[in-house]
Amino acid sequence: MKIRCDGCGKKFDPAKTDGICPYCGAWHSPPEDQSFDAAQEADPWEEDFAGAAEQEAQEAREAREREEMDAPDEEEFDLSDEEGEEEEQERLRRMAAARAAAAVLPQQQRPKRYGPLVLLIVLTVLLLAAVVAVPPLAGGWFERQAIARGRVEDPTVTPAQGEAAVAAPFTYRLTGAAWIDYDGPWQMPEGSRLLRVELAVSMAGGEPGWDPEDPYLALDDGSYRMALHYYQLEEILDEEDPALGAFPYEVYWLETPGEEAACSFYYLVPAQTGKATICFERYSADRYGVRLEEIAELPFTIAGEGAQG
Amino acid sequence: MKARMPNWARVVSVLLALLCGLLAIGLIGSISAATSYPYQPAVVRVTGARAEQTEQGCRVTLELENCSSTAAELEPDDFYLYDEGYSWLAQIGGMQPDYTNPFSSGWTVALPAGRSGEISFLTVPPEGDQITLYWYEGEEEHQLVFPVE
Repeated sequence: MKIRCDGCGKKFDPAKTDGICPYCGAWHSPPEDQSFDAAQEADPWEEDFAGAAEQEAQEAREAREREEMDAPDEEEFDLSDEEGEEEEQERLRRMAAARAAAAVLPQQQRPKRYGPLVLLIVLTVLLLAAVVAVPPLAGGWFERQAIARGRVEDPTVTPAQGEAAVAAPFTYRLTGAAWIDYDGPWQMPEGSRLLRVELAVSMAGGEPGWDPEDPYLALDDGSYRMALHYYQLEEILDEEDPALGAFPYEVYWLETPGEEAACSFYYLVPAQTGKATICFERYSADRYGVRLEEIAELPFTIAGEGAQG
Repeated sequence: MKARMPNWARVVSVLLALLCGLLAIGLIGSISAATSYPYQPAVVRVTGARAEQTEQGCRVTLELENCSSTAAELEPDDFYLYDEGYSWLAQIGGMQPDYTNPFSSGWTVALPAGRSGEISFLTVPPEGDQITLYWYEGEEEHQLVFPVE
């Protein structure tokens, strides 16, 4: 608010000039020892120089009255000014209300995007359920496929071709069979003896896609005898047998077609056994496992302490 | 007015996306592990059975067929026999093979893939005139009732 300078009588705004009159340099102290900044904020001049303001307002009123007296027909304009002020105040109130409403609206009415979050929650729940449920189901289904794949009904039995049995890609030829005496610490089943069967094995073509099993014996009484495992024979045999465990890897390493590898297998059979058939299996394989396709048989007799094909 | 996701929802979404990725990798790995190595158990079917009373006990003979591509080693304990009073028929004189013995296969019955054979053993005398046999083909339970001669 402007004040009138005590020195020169001219009006100026002390808040803008720190109380110094820009016309004569007279200084006017702020009321109640307030700083100019604080005074500027609180506008202390307003109270201190209220008289001057009132005087100014009084002068303005008197001037207006004089004008009204001089021009009474202009009353309408004065009325319109008052109405204009009211309209202006009303407009300002509406603007303030609109600003307030605009400040509140973003918080209350602005739509939130939760769609991706909901989608991810649903996806996570589905994946969790899948991790728990799908592997066992897939494993069970795969196992059923593997069992179905391996199911065998009346396999093909191929008789010996001359003195050899062929279960592709291997060709087996019997080279000997002999009883092995055992007097070690392990108890044998009553009436059983250990039979060593010697074979010459060759391979035509590449390695099969399945691991060939050791051949087994079919006896005349309808029973079967599986070959003893390598790790079992390590505890039974006194001397190392170079042909033991040669099948099938020694056969894989053969370089010349028709070349044969000596392989030996051991069986626990009844001591009175005179004839037996050694059986070789051929499988097919896929991702579900193997399937027995063919059994090649090679009969032989055991005479005395030896055997003949 | 443009929709906007709150910051906490953004953080949760990122974490959930990472979790989904890990779960997807785990799911693929689990399925791959469950289907990578085929397990083909021996499946042995009982095609016939007979039982006769003897002085030592009841001799039970089972006719078997290995209808899988895996060789089977069978023992009497693989079959469950009950009499009419639903009492379990224990084997007489049979012993569990000592698998530390390298000759242990001499006490079991071998049935190669695709072959048929028999297993015979003695049991305690049954109550009644018939025996009920239970056995498993893989995980499927099967049942056979046969008379005692």
